[in-house]
Amino acid sequence: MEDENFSVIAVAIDENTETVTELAVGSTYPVLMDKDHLLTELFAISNVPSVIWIDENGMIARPAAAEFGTDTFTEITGISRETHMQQVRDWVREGLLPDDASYSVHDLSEEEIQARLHFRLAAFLRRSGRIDESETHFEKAAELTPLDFTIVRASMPLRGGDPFGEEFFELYQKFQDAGAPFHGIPRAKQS
Amino acid sequence: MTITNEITILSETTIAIDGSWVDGEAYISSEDVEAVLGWELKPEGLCKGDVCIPLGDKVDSNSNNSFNLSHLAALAGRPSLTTSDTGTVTIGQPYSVRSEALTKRVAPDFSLPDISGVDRALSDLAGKKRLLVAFSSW
Repeated sequence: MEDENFSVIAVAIDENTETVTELAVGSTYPVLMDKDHLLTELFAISNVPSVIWIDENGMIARPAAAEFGTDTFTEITGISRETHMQQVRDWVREGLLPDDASYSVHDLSEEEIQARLHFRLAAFLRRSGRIDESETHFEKAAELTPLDFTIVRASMPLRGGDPFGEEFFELYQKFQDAGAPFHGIPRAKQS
Repeated sequence: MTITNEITILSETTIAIDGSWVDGEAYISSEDVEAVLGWELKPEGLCKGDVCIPLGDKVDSNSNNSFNLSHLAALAGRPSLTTSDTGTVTIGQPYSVRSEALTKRVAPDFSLPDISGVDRALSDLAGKKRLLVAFSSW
């Protein structure tokens, strides 16, 4: 669907360029690396995937929503790839916006902002080989925002954990039990 | 009270500058303020373009013309995290930029390296409709 009027711009909230490069094989659009999680601060993002529609004039036409490139998780999330793709086509070709485009995403709290600073510091310390110090700040970030995936889950592979293992499922359960708090358009089916 | 000479600042970039640590707070020289915060320290206050914010009593300074960095960041509308044990000050994005995104729908521009290391900005694709997809491998 890329043409002169439309482009995807993919941003990996991720430390590992090699892994992202593997994921990006065959991409026809730019794939950027956001190791310091800049976007999570600028747009108040708390999980991935988060998809934001931006119009020709640089205005946000539809704020962050969880949308997927495949239907692998549709059964769990209730989110359909094709529904989103059709909505995007209607927007690009006819300027139509879905009703949920007017949703207001709430701002980050002071704790969420501080957690992002601790995460950034921890990532820097880890890259500098200062592992013990980085642990302290990954831990502080997680204490401040125990349900933020861009903090807690993103730090798992950086702390020797497995973001698809037991600790992820524990996080996911806590997140569900807390009512799936998310900075973005809430979805009808969350369980 | 501890004093060392180097302060590592994580903001738009990561830089190390000479400064001082006093009671856990980082102080930097007035000449370095612009490189760190994007605001210049002038006699009128903290200035960017035509806008100047008077320091008033909000920014602590010490005798050798150096200023409390977290106070300066706060005055410039930016959050910060000072950790003297790691020798760093981490400065976050301006509150107003995110607020404009969430309440006025102005997409903040940003520039990041692509997977080949080439810097690319959201505004490189200005004039197009853009689907900004934040994703990850985790």
